[in-house]
Amino acid sequence: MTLLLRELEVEGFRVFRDPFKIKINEGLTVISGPVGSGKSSIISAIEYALYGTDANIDKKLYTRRDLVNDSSETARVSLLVEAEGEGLYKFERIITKSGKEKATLVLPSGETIQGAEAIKGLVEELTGLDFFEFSRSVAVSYVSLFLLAYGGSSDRSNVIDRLLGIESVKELASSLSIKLLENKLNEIDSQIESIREIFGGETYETSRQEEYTVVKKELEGFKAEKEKLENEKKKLEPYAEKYQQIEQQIKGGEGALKVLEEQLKKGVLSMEEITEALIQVQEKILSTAEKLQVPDSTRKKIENIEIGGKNLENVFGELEAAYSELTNIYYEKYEALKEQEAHLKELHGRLRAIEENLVNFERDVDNYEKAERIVEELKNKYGDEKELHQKIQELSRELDELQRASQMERYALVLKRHVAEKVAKNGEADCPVCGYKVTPEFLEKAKLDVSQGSKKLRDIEEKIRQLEERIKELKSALEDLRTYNLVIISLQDRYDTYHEMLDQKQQLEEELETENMEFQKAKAALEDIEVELKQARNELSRLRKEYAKIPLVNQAYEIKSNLSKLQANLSELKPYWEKYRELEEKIRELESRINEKTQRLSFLEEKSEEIKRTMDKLEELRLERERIARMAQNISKIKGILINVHSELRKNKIQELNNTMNMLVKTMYPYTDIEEVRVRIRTPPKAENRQPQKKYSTYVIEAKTSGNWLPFTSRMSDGQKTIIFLALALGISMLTNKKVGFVILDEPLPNVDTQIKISFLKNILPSLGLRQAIITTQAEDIAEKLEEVTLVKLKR
Amino acid sequence: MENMLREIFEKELSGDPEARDLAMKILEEYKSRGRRGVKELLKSLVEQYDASLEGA
Repeated sequence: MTLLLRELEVEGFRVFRDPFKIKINEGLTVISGPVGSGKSSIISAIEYALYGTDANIDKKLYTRRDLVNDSSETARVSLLVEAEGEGLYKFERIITKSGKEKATLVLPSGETIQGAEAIKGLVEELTGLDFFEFSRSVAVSYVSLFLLAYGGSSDRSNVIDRLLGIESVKELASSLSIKLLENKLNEIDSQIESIREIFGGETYETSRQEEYTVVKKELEGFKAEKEKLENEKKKLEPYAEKYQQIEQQIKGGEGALKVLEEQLKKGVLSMEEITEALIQVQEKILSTAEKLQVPDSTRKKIENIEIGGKNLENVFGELEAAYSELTNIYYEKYEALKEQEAHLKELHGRLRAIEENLVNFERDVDNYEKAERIVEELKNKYGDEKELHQKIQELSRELDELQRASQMERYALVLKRHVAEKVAKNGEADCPVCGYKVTPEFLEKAKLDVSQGSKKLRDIEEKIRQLEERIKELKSALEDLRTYNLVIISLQDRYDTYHEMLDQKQQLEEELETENMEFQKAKAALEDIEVELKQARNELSRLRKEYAKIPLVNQAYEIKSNLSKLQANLSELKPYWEKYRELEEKIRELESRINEKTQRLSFLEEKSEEIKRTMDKLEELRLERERIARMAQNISKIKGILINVHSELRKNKIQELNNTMNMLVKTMYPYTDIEEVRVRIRTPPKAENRQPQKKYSTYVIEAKTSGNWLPFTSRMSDGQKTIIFLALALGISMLTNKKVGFVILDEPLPNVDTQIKISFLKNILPSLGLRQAIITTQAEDIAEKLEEVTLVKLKR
Repeated sequence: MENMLREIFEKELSGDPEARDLAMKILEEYKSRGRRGVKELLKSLVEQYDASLEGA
């Protein structure tokens, strides 16, 4: 089956705003026209119709939306393709400015396929090429050629590999990452190293085991020695027990002796001395009994106590009984004294009460006495009340007379002054009283009378004043006399009571004095008796203690003697005891060592478990390392095989490619200066020590001129280089393209002379063995010179 | 290409069954999941031990 182009129709596509259609015949179709007339748009339309993209979109020079003409809303492309033996396939794509696309494929059967993805699959099946391969082996542009020729050797090699269909081997080889495995190995190594650093690895385990054996042996040795010492110790145990027992007895004895010595420290009285002292005590008690005026029977009992003989215990008892009896009597006396004291206190109380009462009466008594004194004075001065009253009456009468005389005298004086004034005025006047005619001569006399009368009046008035004062004084005295007499009468009872109380007080004071004296005397006597009784008691007590000490001396002696014997026994047992203690100490030391070693052993046993786990982990890691290393080796081996296969494939393909390229150069290039062209495989240096190959080979394009092979870039003109790229591209196309019967070349020879262009155009189809060639060029004149060429002229 | 590589591996790795099996496994993976599949296969083989540790 061969695939051929039949018809292309575009509208609103790139430079084609209006509908444009071309029929594509078999043979050579040259599309010519000036820049911007749409030559490349036609090639772009064919690519887009088939694959939904074009070379520029693929190179990201623009997007699919840029396919729509500036003046159009949508772009439409319709392509008729004939698959010989099958029929026509109609591809149609419509794209809007927003990039929305509708793709349709009408199959020869009339069935319609919708959707870009479904169509893509069918196209790749029809052409046997994906877009990458199609755009480099069927639709070849000068730009593609240029990039292929001048790109990096690695990129070029990859492109050529892909076009030759051997890139999958290389891809597979390169996907086998040794680095991944190496990293893993490093990681495991690092883990192993880290564990070894921490645990010291096998060396540590060996030394641990050695130590375990040594410690275990030591432990057994210590245990055996301990057992031996314990047996020895057991034999000595009765001696040690006895020793400790004696030691305890000595300690007890020493303690008791110390107590005794403390008691005997102040010395011990003899029996004679105690007897003598007891006789004195008896006398003292007897003397006290007399002072206490005890009954005769008691006194005789004391006198009859016989002090003598060795056993003084009864004497102490009798004396203590006597003392006790005296004490009872003493307490009776003491109680009587306390009653007396109470009576005294009562008397005191009564006295205090009278005294307090007297204080309450004192003010009234003072007032009474004062009144009495004043009354006495007033009586002495003015007489009694009656006499004073008579005197006041007499003086009052005298005062009345004087007051009348004064009145009369004052009237006379006024009359005389009146008459005198009238006489002075009128020369004479009648007396208003007697009617007597008064003359100026009488006036002189009247003047004298007035003067004498005035003097008399003054004297009378002086007497009146004196009398009035005297009466006032007497009245006041009378008043006081009456008042104080009343006071005396009113306070008379209290005054009398006060004096009665004073008498009582005096009586009480006398009684108190007498009783107090008796009390003090009795008290002093009783106090003396108390002192004597205390002395007797103390003395008795002291003597009893002294008497009790007498057996202690013997006791102390016995203890000392006993202690001495015990010390002798202890000395005999001491060597056994010391040996026993020494054994005990050694056993303790051994126990401590046994404990220490047991702990160490236990630690080593625990450590052993831990080490075992670590060793297991190490072993696991070692196995894992081995596995990864083996895998790395295998991967490396597989990768080497793939690289070698890739290299061999390249060699074979390149030989074929070189033959085709030389055939093309010879038919298309009319000159002989390019003697031969080739793609040479530059293989990397071989891996050393039979190691698998790790590096890939690359392609080098060379041309032979004047018998020398040179890189195509040196000493070649641009036209010659173009011929070589074209031969390379078309050679690859011939090797890879088995189904597509056409080739599309966009301005393939921009920089070669006319001869080459003509030769190329004439020979391209027969050389490639294809049936259709669509070539865009600005060299319209050349195309016109050729026969059997369909020329499509485009205008701007 | 796949058959060719299979034959080559059989021949070249006939003395090393482990490497041969691995090569076949890789080839199978490449066929079904491409370059990424091979990478993931290698990764899983490498991490087999870690995964077993995690599982334990």
